Amino acid sequence: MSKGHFSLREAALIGVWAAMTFAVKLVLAPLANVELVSLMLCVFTVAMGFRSGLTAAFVFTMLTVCESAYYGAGDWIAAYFINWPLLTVLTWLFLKNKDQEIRAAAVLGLFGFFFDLSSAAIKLILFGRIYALTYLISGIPFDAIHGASNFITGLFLFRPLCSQLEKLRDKF
Amino acid sequence: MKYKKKIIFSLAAAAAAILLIAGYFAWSAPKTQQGNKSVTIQVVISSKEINQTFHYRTNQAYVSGLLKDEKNDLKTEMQKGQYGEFVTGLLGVKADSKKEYFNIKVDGKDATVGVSQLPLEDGKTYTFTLTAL
Repeated sequence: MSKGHFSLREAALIGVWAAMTFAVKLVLAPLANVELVSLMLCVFTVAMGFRSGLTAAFVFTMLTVCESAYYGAGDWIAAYFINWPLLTVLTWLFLKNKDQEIRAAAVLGLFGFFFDLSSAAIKLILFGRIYALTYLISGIPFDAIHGASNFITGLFLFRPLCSQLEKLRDKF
Repeated sequence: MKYKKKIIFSLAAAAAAILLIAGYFAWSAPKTQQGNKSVTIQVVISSKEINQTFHYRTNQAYVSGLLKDEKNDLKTEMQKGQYGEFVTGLLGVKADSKKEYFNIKVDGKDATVGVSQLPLEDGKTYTFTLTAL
């Protein structure tokens, strides 16, 4: 990957990955808080580098903003703009290669478990302390599912996905 | 990491999530009062000029249980919905679901849960008022 501007190929790859991530999000939408978005953005950051990962996170988030035209907008959009780029930062800080699968599972699991903190912070600003606290507490079962499912998918899929993507990257 | 180890870690994560969820529901479930309780049921249906009060002693934990026990007296009609049972009729008056519902108050304050989750507490008054939507 070049250090300056993205090449046309890099830009296309980021777009395609963000679109795939979005497609996976839609496919798994019926399962409450079971998702592969975290894993895919994490894998992309490890294999393609922080800059590409961060850009893919923003492109993916923009796609979900477009989606809100259909499902309706909400303060979750702001939370998405915090969470997904933050995940790429966490990945960049804690994950260096595909062999760190247990660490990847831990990062993804904790990210899933604390996913709603940013939403709660936004609700704290917009609606006050009680609303934010109520939101956080009522979300505990969903956060538990999110954390556990992220941990499990990370444990099993982080390494094979990284390997495949790195192979494709090297051909690229 | 070996596949077997991954399975063990996954089971541990799933178990932790299940424990947390079970703990959450145990903690957040309405606290019921055991034993005999003395409660008052008030039914207000202004359109029929009904305002009746009934006093009961009960061992039931939730309001829905008492309403079923006293079905003959209160002429209770209930339906099962997504969030448990809800009252559709009292004292022979059925709520038109398109226009009205039975509002529930506990000692004058709006109940935050339905009758299936609303605990009976000694000395409290449960008021059912047919209210326009």
